[in-house]
Order: sequence, then C-alpha cells, then structure tokens
Amino acid sequence: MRRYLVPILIVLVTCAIESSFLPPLFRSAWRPSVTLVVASIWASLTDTDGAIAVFAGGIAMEAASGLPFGINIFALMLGNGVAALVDRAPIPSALFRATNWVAVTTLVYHLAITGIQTLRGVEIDLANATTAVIIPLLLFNPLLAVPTFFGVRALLPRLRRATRLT
Amino acid sequence: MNRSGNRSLFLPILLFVAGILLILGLSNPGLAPDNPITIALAPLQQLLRAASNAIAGVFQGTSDTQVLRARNTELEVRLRDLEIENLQLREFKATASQYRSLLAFAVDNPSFGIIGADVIGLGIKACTDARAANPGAPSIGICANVIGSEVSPYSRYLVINAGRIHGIREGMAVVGGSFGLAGRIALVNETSSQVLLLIDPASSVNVVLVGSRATGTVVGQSDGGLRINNVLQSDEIAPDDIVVTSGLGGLLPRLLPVGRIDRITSTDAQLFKEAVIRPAVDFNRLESVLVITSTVGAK
Repeated sequence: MRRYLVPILIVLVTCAIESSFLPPLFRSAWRPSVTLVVASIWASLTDTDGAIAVFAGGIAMEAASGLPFGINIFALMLGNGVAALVDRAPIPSALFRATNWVAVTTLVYHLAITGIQTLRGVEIDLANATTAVIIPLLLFNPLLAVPTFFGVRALLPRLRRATRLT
Repeated sequence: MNRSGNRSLFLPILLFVAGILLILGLSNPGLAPDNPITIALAPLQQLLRAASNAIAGVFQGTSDTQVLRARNTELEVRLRDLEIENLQLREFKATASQYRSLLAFAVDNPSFGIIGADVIGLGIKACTDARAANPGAPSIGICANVIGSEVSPYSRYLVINAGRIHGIREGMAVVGGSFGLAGRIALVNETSSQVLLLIDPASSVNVVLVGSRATGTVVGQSDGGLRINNVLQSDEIAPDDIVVTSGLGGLLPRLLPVGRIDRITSTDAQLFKEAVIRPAVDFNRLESVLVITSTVGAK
C-alpha cells in the first residue's frame, strides 16, 4: 500500500510547494512545474503506482487551480499517455528516457490546456504562451527531471521492499 | 524500469476517467467546489508561502538596497494615497457637477415630483470612512493573506486564507495595494477562496473614466495586461485618465480604482475605442488583500 500512498503524498506536497512556495521566488510568466515533473518521473519509472501518482497530481493541481475541474487532470494524464507511447523509442539511457518523458508530457500538457481553453472561448495569445511559457519549460522541466529521476529511483526499492514485507 | 510494451492498461483507464471528469467539469462549472484536497492543502500552503516570502525577502539585496527599497515603498504608498485622494476629489467634483445639473433640472421643471437616488451602493471610500468614523461598527471587509497562486500559466487566480466560515461569498470584490481592485471571489471553500484576478482573460469589469465620464469594459489579457474596450468613439480618452469601477450591474462597488490609461491602441476607423491600462495593483506582489463583504447602505 505504501508504494501508492507515498507518491500521492509527495505529489500533494509538491503541488503545495508549486502554488505557494515558488510564486514569490519566480515572478516570470513561467515557474518550474514540479508536480508535473515528479508525477511524470514516477510514471516513467513505474507502472500502476506511477499512473496513480499522475492522477493524484492532476487532482492536486485542480485544488490549486481556477480552471474548470478536470482540465489539469486530463491534460496531465494525456501528456503521460503520449509520453508512454513515445517511450517505445530505442533510447538506451534510462535518464534520457525519463527526461524525454518529462519533455513530452510538458509539451502535450500545455498544448492540451491551450487547446481546451481556446475551445472554451478564452483568448490565449499562442505566440506569447509559446515563447514565454512553453519553450522555457521545455528547457527547464527536463533539467529538473534529472535530480528528480535519481531521487525517485533511490526511493522506489525501499517502497517496494516495504510493500513486500507488509 | 518498465518499457511501454510491458505497461498495464492502468494509464489508459485513468486517462479515460480523466476525460470523463473533464467533460463533467466543463458541462458543470460548479463541480467539486469543496475539493477536500483544497482544504487539506490550505494550512500547508500558508506555511510554505510565509517561508517563501521570508526567503524572497532575504535574497532581495543588501541592507542598503533594502533601506532604499523601504523608502521607495513608503513613497509609493504615499503617492498612491495621494492618487486615491486626488481621485476621490475629482470624483466628488464630477458628482457635484452632476448634482448641479440635476438641481438645475429640478428648478427648471417645478411641476415634476422628483426623488433623488444613487445608482448603486457605496464603494470602498465610504466603507473606510464609515469604519474610521465608527470603529465599533460591524466590519464590512475581511483582510486575508494570499497563500497560493494559480499553477497554470493560462489563467490568473490567487488563493487566499479566508473562506465560507469567514463570511466570504462568490462575487465579492477583492482589493489590494492602496484599495485598487484586484479581482473578485470566484470559488469559495470552507477556509480558503479563489480570487479571479482582473488580468485573467475571462475577467470583465464595467468601468468609468473619472475625467471624461466615459464608460467601458476592462478585460484581462493573456499576457497579464489590462485593456479597456467598448468605449464610444464620441467619448474622450487620454493617457493618465483614472479608471474606476462603475458599479453597473451591482456586482462590484463603485469607485474602486482599476488603473490609469497607458496608451490608446484603437483607430478612428474602429467602432469602439480601446486602450491599454496601467493597473492600480501590482499583481505579482500581492501578499495581503481585503475582501469587501458588504457596502454601507447597499440594499
């Protein structure tokens, strides 16, 4: 059970950090998507517990977001779904595959949100969104994924060992 | 590590569930207003925000620059106070002018029975005056701290640590800085609320220009700016004109400062005039806000 509960708690805390701790430190149009990165890394390294972590991350983002309920969950799940398909590419390094997973999730997540918002009739300046948000995050999120990858990979064996013992 | 070929169907199943939630969320905007995670996260967000503000303060420069910054802040506050005072005096002047016209109409038409009435309830000025005059009177506003910000860069919301148990209701006006309009309450939870900021693309507020009495609509821009539109071509707009809420519709109090005209972007060929507005509130530095829960004299 711990292998499911621990990632859920971790993504909840990262979402609280993202919505409360980071905004005063990052006053630009973008800031690190720590919830997206942590949940995506978990999904790239595991199967069921990773999918649950992504879903929990989406729900946590809904709690901190003013967008209509469901948009963040769907965009995050879709991003990870597409990343799972792209993960079939023969990349030999586990680290590169994880950073690639995060980059794909970031891109699809933002495209999904801008698409849904546009369909809802909300005016989105796509050129500004691309240059001020999406491109910086496509560079920064994979970088953030590197330490996250090592942290999650170090944590996973302990969780699984605990699960086997219980 | 799992390769995609070995993955279970759990991810597609959850994606399908997420799709259903999305459809439900879009078709029912009020879905899950009391998200339990919001309630659980609020205390943690409050702690993290306080820590982050402290860290941001430490790294903002040397002691000399901090002294200069404090002095600058003090002068900015003083300038804003003077701007507000100036705005109120100009508003009183414009109102007095209107009353003189009404009085002239009444004098010119002695056969009419006439009853004077305000268009809408009193604004923040009256609220603060009432509070200063009678400190023991029931509070008309709730001060709240900003504890969270929107995680999506495509919408502009804040989370504040005041909710339903504090008397917050949807639609209430939220002011920041020197009583400049910051936004309005969009969603209320038990102990926290989400504030739809003026700069959100979905935000729209009826306003009036203090100088020319022209009316228009202030809408948020996706780049975080503000724009006024729907101003008649026959109305005058000039840079530095002060923009305040008109109170039309009754959702927001009158006379809350929104900003100043920065530059006019429309041409004579357009149906309506448009202009970019310099907001009265620095939306990046909002730490505490005041929620106007009632207006003195409002029905």
